[in-house]
Amino acid sequence: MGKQETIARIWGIPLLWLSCLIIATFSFPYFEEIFRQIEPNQRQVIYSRDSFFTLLLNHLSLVGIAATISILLGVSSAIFVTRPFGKDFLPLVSQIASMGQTFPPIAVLALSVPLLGFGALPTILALSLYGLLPIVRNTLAGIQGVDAAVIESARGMGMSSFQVLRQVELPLASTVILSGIRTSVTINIATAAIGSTIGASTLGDPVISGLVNGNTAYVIQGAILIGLLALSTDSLLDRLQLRLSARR
Amino acid sequence: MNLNTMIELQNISKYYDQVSAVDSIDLKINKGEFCVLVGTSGCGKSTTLRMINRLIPHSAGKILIEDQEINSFNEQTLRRRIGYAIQNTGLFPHWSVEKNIGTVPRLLKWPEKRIQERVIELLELLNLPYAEFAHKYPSELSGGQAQRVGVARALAGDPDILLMDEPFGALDPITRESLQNELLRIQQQIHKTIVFVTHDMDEALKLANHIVVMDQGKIIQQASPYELLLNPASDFVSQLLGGEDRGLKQAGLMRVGEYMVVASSTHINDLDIKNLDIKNVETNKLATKPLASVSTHDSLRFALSVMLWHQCELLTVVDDQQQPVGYISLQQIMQAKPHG
Amino acid sequence: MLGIRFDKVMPVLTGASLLSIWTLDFVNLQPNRILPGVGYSLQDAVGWWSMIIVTTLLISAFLLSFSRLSLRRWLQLFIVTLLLVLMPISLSSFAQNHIPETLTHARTGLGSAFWLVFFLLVLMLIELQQKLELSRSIYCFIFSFPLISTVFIYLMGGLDTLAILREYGARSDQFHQAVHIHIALVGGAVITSILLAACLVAMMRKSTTAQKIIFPLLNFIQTIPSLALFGLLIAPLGYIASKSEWLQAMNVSGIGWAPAMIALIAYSLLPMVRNTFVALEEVSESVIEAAKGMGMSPAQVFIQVRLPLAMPVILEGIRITTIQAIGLTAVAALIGAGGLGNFIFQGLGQAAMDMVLLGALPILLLAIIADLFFSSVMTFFNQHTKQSGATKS
Repeated sequence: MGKQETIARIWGIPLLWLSCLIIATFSFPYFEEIFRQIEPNQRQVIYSRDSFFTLLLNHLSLVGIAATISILLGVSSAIFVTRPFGKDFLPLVSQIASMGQTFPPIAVLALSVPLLGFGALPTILALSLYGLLPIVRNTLAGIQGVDAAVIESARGMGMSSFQVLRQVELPLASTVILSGIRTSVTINIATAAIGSTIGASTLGDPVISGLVNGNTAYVIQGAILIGLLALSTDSLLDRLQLRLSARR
Repeated sequence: MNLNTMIELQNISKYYDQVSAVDSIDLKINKGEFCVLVGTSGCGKSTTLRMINRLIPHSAGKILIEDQEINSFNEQTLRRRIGYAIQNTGLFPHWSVEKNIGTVPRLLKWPEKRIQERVIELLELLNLPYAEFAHKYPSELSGGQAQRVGVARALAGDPDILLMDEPFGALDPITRESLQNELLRIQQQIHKTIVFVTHDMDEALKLANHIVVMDQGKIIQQASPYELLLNPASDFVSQLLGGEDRGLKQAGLMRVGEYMVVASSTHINDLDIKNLDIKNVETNKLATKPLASVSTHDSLRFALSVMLWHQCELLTVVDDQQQPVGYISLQQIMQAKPHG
Repeated sequence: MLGIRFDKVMPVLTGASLLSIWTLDFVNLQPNRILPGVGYSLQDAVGWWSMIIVTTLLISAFLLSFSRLSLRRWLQLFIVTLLLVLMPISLSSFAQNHIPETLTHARTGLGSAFWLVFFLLVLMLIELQQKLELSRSIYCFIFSFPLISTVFIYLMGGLDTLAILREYGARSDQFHQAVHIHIALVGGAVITSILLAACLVAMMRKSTTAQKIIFPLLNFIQTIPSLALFGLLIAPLGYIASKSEWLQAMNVSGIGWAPAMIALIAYSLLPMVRNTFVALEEVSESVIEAAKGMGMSPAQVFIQVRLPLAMPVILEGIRITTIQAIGLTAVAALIGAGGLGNFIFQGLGQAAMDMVLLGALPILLLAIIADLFFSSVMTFFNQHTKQSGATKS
């Protein structure tokens, strides 16, 4: 009983958003009457080129693949530049990571088209490239923020460099790293929606199609789903972060 | 080749960009010895300590542990055999006290059960009840408790050698003193070879049986505490020793038990001043009956202080069970010669 | 024995530049806007001698990394600047050699080697700046050389065939208007949100209830993706506008500048409010205590002590807000707000890449200029507070 209560308290908000998302994904067709009120003159008021579920899955896999690439690449490059053999690159990499935040994600997305063409692939590349920066920056901050005395005593007790990294540096940096991942994923969910304009199939499709054809009902359907997806993911990562820092 | 030598530094130097931090020093530390490196900050004492467990590689010379060159060991294997405690404890904030203490045993791949037994044993040794402390996190400990855990962690792998880099430097005087006493008590039980770095000469005199005074990367003098007090090799050393305070410092090293007059308890209770070989007592109008008592473990310095406080020249000496075992007089303190 | 270590960064960057110069297309030539282009390597584009010069320069920069010369980084800096200066010259030389005057529609596209080398050279500049610990002003001075060379070549007409400039030439009026609208939207949103944030922060400093409401609300808005928020504003705003003649007269409707402005302000509030509030709260209590102790009135404490000390962090908030707004305004083009985003989305729709660039590059440039502006103001403020702190203590 008590355990269930705490689960509800900890995961309640993410679960709430998530169930809203799932309900909305499947129930829009049943609300045709309401949408017709908004667009009385349109022949069709429920977006139907793809099912919302397909779009949701596409959106999620786009962001998921991009996030996986950014996390793997971002964390490992931050680790690389904080090791003795990579420390030459530290100033350059940390400078890029902080400067890169200046570039608007939409510009990065647009610039990827002339270089890579249309479709899901350039979107994934643009997303993972842009999502890399907050992860690199936070991983660097997390690792560099570990108390020097802690590292010294870990080495002094005979931990290998890998053990120091695995057992001390990464666990201590994990909250900061996770907050970088959260920033990265939040930006990517928003940017992936705009990816519709460069030919990736995402939840942005109904919005773009609605804007182009003047069908506000489509716009609302897409916008609600994008908003709910962002809220569920963000609150989920927020809770994870809380759990992680509560263990201290 | 000396079977008694645990650590030997032969002609050790450390250069940073051609500048020497440690300049060709020779040092032998025997098994079971409590060796304290003392000096002002930047004198190379910490560097010397860290060269022993290779946290800093030495630039020239040889370091031997039980006659084996330390570079012949794998770096990690060497460090797991040497306990290490530092000023800021370096406790892992994300691990419980129990897990922190178990670090080296886990690195040495001890079975889980043995690790837990070891943790229990060490927590008991350091007066931290297992039930209360094992599952706490470092942020929940006071400074003194954290440092105890740091010492326990350094001892966990049952190393022959314990390196301590100003471990009590950041503690308040009262906590520091109680931890010093505890360390002395523990050393009596475990007989490790301890190398201890401090800038506090009083701490060195209290703990060491081998003091190494360093300045500008060189060893100025090494001696037992008594010898150091009696014959400081230079003005620098006597300055470190506190100049005119040396007499009191020396008295601080001598135990009441070694200088008192042993007497049966009934004798002491009926003690009459005439039976004692003390002159000028009556004329001094000082209390001639023993008004206060000291323990056999107390220092002569402490006994002197008690006499000043109570304005008496005579103290009863009691044992651990608070039973009188003898007496000590002002004259005996004045005439006491160190026999360290 | 001291082993000599060499820094690995410059060799990697120069090596990568060499590799891309030798293997990738430097420029490509399109007969007109629609037909696909033909790629040229640097050698084919400008001549074998140019290849020799660039290769020699890059190899010298590469080898300098392994020398023990104390001036080696300065020499590398010189080489990198020289290469950046040469880049626009190479483009003009290509146009002279390969594009006859008669081909008025031919356009030069920048090839992957050009972009990569440019990117790598900028990285080298950043790297050298960091390792040489150059100040911002020296850094700007160095950057001015390539800038001057580009402007000079442009004025000489050497860059006229460049695709993006041809595109600009075709729609310069539209472009200028878009830039104006973009800046007006960003400026309007930033200024309004500064004023609004000041009110909100004042409320939050008065009551913790306000804190408990405002922070989660702003966080919530920030979480909602821009496309969704823009989309969700269309219907309600359209409805309200249809009921109010006054709003219609203001040209407010479900699409256009009004929903864009509302969304931009809503997004701008979080970084602004958060930084301002935190900055004001975190001014050291002892300083405030001292100010009070000397008999300052609460207003004096706020204006003379608390606000100036909080200023750098508040400015950082304005910087973040402005950069964020520049990007979001581009997205707002989708709901008819206009601005540079128009070129991006129109270009994407027509598969006209030069038009996409005409939108995306200026947006990037605007963001960089805003960043430079606010960070220099912040440096000024930081120095200022440090100095005054030093003289007072």
